[in-house]
Amino acid sequence: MTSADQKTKNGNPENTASVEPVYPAESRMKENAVLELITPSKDSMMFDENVDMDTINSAVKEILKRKQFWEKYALLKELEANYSDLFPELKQKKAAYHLIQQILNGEELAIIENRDDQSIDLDRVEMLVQVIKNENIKEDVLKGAVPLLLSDKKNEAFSVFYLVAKKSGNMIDPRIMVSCIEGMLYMTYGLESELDDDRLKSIRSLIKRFLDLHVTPASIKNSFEYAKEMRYTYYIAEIIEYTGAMIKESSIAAPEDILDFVRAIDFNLSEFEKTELNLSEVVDNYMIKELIICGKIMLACKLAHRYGVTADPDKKETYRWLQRIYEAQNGSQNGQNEQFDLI
Amino acid sequence: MEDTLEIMPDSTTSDLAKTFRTTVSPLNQKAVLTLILSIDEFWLKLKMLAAIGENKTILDLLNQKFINADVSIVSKEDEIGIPEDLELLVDFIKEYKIKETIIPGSTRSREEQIKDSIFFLVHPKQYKAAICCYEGMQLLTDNIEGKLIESRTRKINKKSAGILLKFNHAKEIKLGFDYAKEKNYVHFMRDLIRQTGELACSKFKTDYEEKKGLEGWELAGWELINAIYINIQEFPEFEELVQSALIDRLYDAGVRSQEIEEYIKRYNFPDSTNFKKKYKLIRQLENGKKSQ
Repeated sequence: MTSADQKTKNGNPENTASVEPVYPAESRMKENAVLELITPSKDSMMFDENVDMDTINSAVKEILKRKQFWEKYALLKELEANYSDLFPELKQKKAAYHLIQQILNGEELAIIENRDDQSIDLDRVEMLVQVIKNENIKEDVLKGAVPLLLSDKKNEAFSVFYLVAKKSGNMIDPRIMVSCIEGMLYMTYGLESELDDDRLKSIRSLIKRFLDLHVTPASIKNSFEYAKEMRYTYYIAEIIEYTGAMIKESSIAAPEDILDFVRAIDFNLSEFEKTELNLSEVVDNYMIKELIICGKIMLACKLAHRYGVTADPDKKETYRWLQRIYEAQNGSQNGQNEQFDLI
Repeated sequence: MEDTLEIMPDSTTSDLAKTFRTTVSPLNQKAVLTLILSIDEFWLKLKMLAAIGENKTILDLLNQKFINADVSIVSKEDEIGIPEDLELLVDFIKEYKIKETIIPGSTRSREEQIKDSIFFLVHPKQYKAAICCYEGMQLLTDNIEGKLIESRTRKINKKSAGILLKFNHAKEIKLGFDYAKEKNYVHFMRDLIRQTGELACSKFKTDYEEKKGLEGWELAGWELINAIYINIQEFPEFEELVQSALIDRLYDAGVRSQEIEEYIKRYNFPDSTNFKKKYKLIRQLENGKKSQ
């Protein structure tokens, strides 16, 4: 299948609505065409060294007049990369930021659509997620995101991620949904107390709807692996929390299912850069501690080590002792009953 | 004693508790304790607390369960006792010396809030559960005579007697006694020996005194009494009771001394035991009289 075929398929709901979502194993980021477009050239271009700030400011104005969003964004980034020493002093230093803000407030879905058939383009959604993260764009840049008078509600703007997720629901490539969820989670993270309640509820409800439809260990594993590859830490945190809840439910209804859910989440914290979100705390609080509550002490301790939670010396000591105490009082027989083969 | 929980810290767990206290930072000790306390399963939590010698926390948790009459720790929704959990409860109350007086309503001063003990409340459907309840009720009331209100003592005695009476056939007696012996439930063992002695001897008496010649009664008596087996060298504290409640009763019921002598052999009494010599002498005298 060619890349173009793949894109068409991604965007066509009829072709992607399957019971078990399929997440191809190949590296998405490496083949993303938009990434290539917006990544500044590695070789320094032969720019005029005597360019002054006024020239750059006027160039930015001209770039912003262009029609295509990704082209504008790519040129701005190229400019920024080549004149990084000048940029902090420029009037237009936040040009890229304002550009995204403007696009989002205009609810311009076109930036993530295929030009040919106006279906949603996975490459562009993925890139938009990276872009909002790079530019640190949060939900509060959107009109009406923070509480406002009811009469102003008509001017309210929602993120492209929200609009796609709401419009497409489950009838879309699950990778697009996962990317949109990552975008929504990133944009709202840390703003929970500031954002409009209705907005937050709507976003949460969309996310929950998607997760509830992908509740099997196999689905969790698939979306987790995709999110891991894309470094979608907010989605990862969300799916870990969700899986923790599944473990809790399983411990009551079908204890033997716990291991299936545990197997779905396989990663090591050291593979991830530190973000504003503390993934170590998330996995510790929602997976490890949930397993401890369920009495799966050995499994919890083993996972704490495997996930890299025990990279923290205090946590290492805590879990080492927990395991020791469990073994001392329960003997090795009980420990073995917990089934150690995770994979 | 294979499945009995070893609550009393043996050398390993004692060392573990000591090392935990001395080598782990207070902050990490607290973190470990918090994790253990978060465990849903009550008995796993208690066993792990026992391993690090958190006696006060264990007592608090157990007292709370008794005070709230929370039978869920030993039963499912139907309140039918689960033997494995009841065994743990017996082990813990024995180890931590918990008494009925901690339960609201057990003494005069707290009579206004009447609660029964978990052992009293749970439904002992299975024989092991029944024995655990019996032993538990006895342990809770042991050595606090006079402290409990009379009505409570009566209730407990009535329920205990009801349980004990279920063990009135040879098969049940054997099952119950063997289980109690394995778990070292000495209260139940003692009372079952007494009851079986009475039951068996009533059969012998019926046979010898009232319905002479009906051998079936004698056989029934032997069946009952043989259901009790104990090696006195392993349980020396039972020597006196076996003598008074079983052996002497057999003699009183008219069982022949030769048979009594045979019966005594199965208990593996020490050779120095006086009554062994006594019955041997009686048998010799009887034989001598016969030969005359």
